[in-house]
Amino acid sequence: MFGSPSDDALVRKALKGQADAWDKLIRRYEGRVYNFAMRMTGNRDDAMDLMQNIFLAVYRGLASFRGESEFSSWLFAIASFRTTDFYRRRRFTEDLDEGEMAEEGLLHTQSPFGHVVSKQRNKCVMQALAQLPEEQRLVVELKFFQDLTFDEISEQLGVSANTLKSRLYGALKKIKAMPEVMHVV
Amino acid sequence: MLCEEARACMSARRKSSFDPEGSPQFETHLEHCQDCRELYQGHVLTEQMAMAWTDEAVPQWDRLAAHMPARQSTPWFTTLLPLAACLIMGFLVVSRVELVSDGTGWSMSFGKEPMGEAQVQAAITQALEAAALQNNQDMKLLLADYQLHTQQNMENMVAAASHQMRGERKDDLTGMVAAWSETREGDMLWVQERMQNIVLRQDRTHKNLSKIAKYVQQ
Repeated sequence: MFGSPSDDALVRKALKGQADAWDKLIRRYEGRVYNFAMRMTGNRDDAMDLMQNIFLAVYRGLASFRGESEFSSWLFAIASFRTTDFYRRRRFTEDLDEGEMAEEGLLHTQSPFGHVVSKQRNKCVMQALAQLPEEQRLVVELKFFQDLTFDEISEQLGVSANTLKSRLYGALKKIKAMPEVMHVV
Repeated sequence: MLCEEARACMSARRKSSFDPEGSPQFETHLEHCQDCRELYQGHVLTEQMAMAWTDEAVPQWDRLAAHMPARQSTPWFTTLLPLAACLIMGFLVVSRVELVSDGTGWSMSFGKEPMGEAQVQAAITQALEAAALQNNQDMKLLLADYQLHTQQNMENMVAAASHQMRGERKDDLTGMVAAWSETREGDMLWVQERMQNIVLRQDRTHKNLSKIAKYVQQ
C-alpha cells in the first residue's frame, strides 16, 4: 500500500506538472543511465553530458509515452538514440584519463582494496568497449548490460534482428581477442 | 545442432537457467564448429565483463536542468487579459475619436467630452432668440415703411383735392380726410395685430424646432 509508485503513475503525475514526480523518476533511473553513459562514452564528463541529454529527451517525449511498453525500455530506446547522436557530434575519447574514476564515484566498495579492484575493472571494461565500433558497442551494451533480447533491441533501434546478431557476433569475436578483458575476468 | 540453434542457446544462457555446457548436443556442435566456439568464448567473456562492472554513483548534478523546463501550465489570464485589454482599447479608439472637418481644415480629437443637455438647450435657445429678434426688427422696418408710404400717399391726395375744390366741398374733403385717418389708424392696428400673430406663430415654430432638436440630440 505504501510502496513506491509505479513508473506509469510517476509519468502521469509528471505530465500534470508535478515536479516531485519527475524528480523521483529521474532519481530512479539516473544510476542506470549514468553507468550506461559511462560505458558508452568512456569518461565521466561526457557521461554526464549524455545523461542530461537523455533525460531532457525523455522529458520532451514524455507525453508520447503510452505505457504500451516498460518505461525503462522506452527510456533506453531514447538513450540509444541520444548515444548515436552523441557519437555523431563528438569523437569518442580513446584515451581514458587516469584520474577520471574518482574514488567517491564507485559503489559497493567495502574496502580500499576492493575499491581499487573495482576501479581497475571498470576502467578495463571501458577500454575494451572503446575498441568496438559504436554500433557494436551499443548492441553489446543493450544485450549484456541491459539484458535486452534481440527483439527488444530491434524494436528500440529500428534495426533488424539479423543485423543486430551480425553486429553482436562481430563484437564478441573482437572481445575474445582483447587482452584487457582477461584482466577483468 | 545447427549453428543458429547453438547461437540461440548462447543467447538464452543469460536469461534462463539453461546451461549450454551441460547439453551434449551443444558441446558436440562446438567441438566441430570453430566459429561458434569462438563466439561462445566471446559470449562468456562479455558476460563476465558485464558482471565485473561496478556501478558508479551519479555525481551531484543539476537535475533542474532536466526538470520541467517548459511544461508549466500557463494561467488563463496571462493570455486572455492582454487580449481583453487590446479589444477595449480598440473599441475606445474607434468610438471616441472625433474627426471634425470645417472651413478652416480638419482636426482629429480623442476623448473630447460631448455637450451636455443644458449646453445644447442654451445653444438652441440662443439661436432661436437671435432669429426672433431679427424677425421682429425686419417686421418693424417693414411696418414703418408701409406707414410712411401710405401717409405720404394720403397727404398727396388731400393736397391735390384741396387745390381743386372750394367751399363746402373743401369741408367735405376735410371730413373725409379725418375719416380716412381714422380708418388708417384702424388699419394700422389691424396690421399690427396680424404682424403680432405672425411673430407668435414663428415663436411657436421655433419652440417646436427646439423640441425636435432636443429629441435628435438624445
